[in-house]
Amino acid sequence: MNDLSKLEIRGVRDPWKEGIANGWSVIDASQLNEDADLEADVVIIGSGAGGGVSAEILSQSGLRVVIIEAARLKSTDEFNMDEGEAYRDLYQEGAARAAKDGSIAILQGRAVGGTTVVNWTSSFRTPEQTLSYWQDQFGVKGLSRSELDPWFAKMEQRLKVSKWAMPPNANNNALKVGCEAMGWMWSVIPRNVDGCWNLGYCGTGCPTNAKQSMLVTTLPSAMQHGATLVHGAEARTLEHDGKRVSAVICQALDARRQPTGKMVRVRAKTIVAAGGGINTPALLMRAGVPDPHQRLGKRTFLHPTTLVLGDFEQRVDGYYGAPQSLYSDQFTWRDGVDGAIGYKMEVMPTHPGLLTSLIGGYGSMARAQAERLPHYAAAIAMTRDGFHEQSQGGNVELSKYGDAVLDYVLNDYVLDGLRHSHLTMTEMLFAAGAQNVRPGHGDAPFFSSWQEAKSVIPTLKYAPGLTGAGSAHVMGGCTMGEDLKHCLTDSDGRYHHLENLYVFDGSVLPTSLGVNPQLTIYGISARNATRLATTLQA
Amino acid sequence: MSESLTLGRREFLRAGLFGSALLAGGAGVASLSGCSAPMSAADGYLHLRPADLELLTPLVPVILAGALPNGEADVQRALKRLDTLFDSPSRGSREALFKLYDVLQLGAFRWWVMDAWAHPASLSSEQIDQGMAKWSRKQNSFARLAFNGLCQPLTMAWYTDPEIAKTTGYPGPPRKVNA
Ligand SMILES: Cc1cc2nc3c(=O)[nH]c(=O)nc-3n(C[C@H](O)[C@H](O)[C@H](O)COP(=O)(O)OP(=O)(O)OC[C@H]3O[C@@H](n4cnc5c(N)ncnc54)[C@H](O)[C@@H]3O)c2cc1C
Ligand code: SF4
Repeated sequence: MNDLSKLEIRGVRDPWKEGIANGWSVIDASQLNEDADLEADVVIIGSGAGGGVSAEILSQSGLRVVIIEAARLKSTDEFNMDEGEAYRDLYQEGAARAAKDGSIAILQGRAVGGTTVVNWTSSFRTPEQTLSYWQDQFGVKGLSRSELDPWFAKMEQRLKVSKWAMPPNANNNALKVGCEAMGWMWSVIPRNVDGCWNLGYCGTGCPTNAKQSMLVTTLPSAMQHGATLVHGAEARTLEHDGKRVSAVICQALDARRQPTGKMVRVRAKTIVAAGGGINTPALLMRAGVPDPHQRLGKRTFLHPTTLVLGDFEQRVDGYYGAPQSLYSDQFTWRDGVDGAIGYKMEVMPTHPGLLTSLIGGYGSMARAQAERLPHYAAAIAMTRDGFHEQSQGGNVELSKYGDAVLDYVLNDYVLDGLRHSHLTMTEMLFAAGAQNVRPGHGDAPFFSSWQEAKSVIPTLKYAPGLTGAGSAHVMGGCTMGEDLKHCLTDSDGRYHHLENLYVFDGSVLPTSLGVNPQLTIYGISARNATRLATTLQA
Repeated sequence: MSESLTLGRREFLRAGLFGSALLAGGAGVASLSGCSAPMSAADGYLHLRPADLELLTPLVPVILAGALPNGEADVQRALKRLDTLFDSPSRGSREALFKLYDVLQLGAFRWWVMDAWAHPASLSSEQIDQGMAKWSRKQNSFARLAFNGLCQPLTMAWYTDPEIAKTTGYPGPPRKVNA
């Protein structure tokens, strides 16, 4: 049995503690006693994958950058691997975000460093098929795989991306053994880590600084180049005249995310929205920016994800060790790019809070399953939504309080893919040696043989609420491309209907990706922020 | 045969009535339930209202059966943790959760999902367990979304407690020691 609870993690520095002591310009908006007025060349809203990369590039080019982040600063010294605290402090809505009807749990970060602070470090370049589809369907220009490859290479170097060289943990190993037994492809995942301790707590904030999240890479570099970070400040609206944006209006939030009543106004010549999917479209909707074809928040994609648990005789201890180190693309393009929905297979870590709530159910049966937690391998499949007319994604709406809500309905096209993935991953985990296997469906028991599973899964009803579904990848809602009817930003990320507003985050993606999104967002944001820096310096 | 057919039809009608009321944003639900207009939080709680506590107190030992090492004392602790969990969602999301509790105040809704008109406080644990078993098998999306909305946050709130997490066999995280 693996037991890391006796391990002590010592001697790790906190770059933010040191930086602030050395004079970094950090404003904790929750502490403001009066409204604040700031001025910048560029204001960046959101400090995640897109915002972090943009902040580094723009500040290095000599521009005065102000970064706005809704979350309060939490850094290395406070990353104590407590699941509940992490959900509360580092995730959107305390990890309780869900599609409007409650059918899909949505995990998304809310942190200085954005979702990169809690992600699982898998780093893939965007598949060629996806980029070609964007070119053909949305008129995206300049983002072919060969044009993007240098940007991916640059970001891989910057964030120390390399294939995981250590042996996989038993959870990932089950995917490998299962795929080998089935004759399916599998391969090693490249991760953005430097000196990783192989602990498994990427999802609660890396306690060792090994994960090359924005918190320990691009943001500190931006700070050294004179950027200002305002944290605990949520951008609520934009001042604009229908042609140009002149300022971002933020409300200061206290430790409980409640408005303190103090406002922060940031005037800037250029505005970069980098709040990520769901949040960036919601901000632009609140601001009432021009949107002649009613496209804001449309085509929001999730990689709707299924889970299958394999119960092994030996302990798997899937909460320990690099959470994702192997994957399989056996079914990613199973019916071509735009046919029946395909899916990428990986595994997810099995920390008790998240996993028991995903297992679902109630009472003694739920408890019996919770007690097998150390024995579970947890295979997941991320379906590629957005490549078919039956897959238009979800729509962002505003609640009566102005907060973002995603209306995403699991339709038969997606549900067919979820069932297909349950079948394949169930077969895979039996092939890997699991004694019992359970697909994430409320009516599915733990099956004791593939024969049994194979006859029952096709008879289950696949519908919202019955079929378990989750997402850790929010994409789209501000589609980029040159086709004005369907797109909101151009291929450089500039908003088509306002001169000085740019969107540098996952919300510009016209479809989902078929790979975990971070490297795509790093690469495209690096390209577009560099182009913007050149324009602004001219 | 004919009995199950009629039942099926009646179920459908009930799903239509209450299902659409809740899914439409709950505008009608508060008025349906009468007693559930936004009320303030119970003493010592941030969000859970007295009626929610009355509703949940008998449900918790059934939903978290086998996971409450300290018995009754843990019911209150679980409710406190749930209350804390409710502090992070946006206001709109939190209201959706409360609408679910509101609809559970309706005898007719409970009858539809659990085959029991009575308030959980006047049911035995066995009766609640049977009701939950029925509910958990309903082949209706709205009923099942509501079921998950009741059970999942409670499960998440409970198993993120470091002490409870260890009862699954998870040894716990390493210890972080700052300089
Ligand atoms: C648990 C988990 C695991 C994941 N694992 C992987 C992985 O292994 N590999 C991978 O490639 N991807 C992974 N992802 C996804 C990936 O990290 C995200 O897709 C990516 O970080 C999104 O980048 P972004 O720039 O669009 O937004 P984010 O990184 O989400 O950053 C947006 C930031 O903006 C802030 N913000 C939003 N609105 C406002 C506002 N109005 N005012 C102020 N601030 C605002 C938010 O609080 C947030 O901090 C994972 C995600 C999760 C949740
Ligand atoms: S596995 Fe590596 S990157 Fe992830 S939390 Fe542990 S040390 Fe950090």
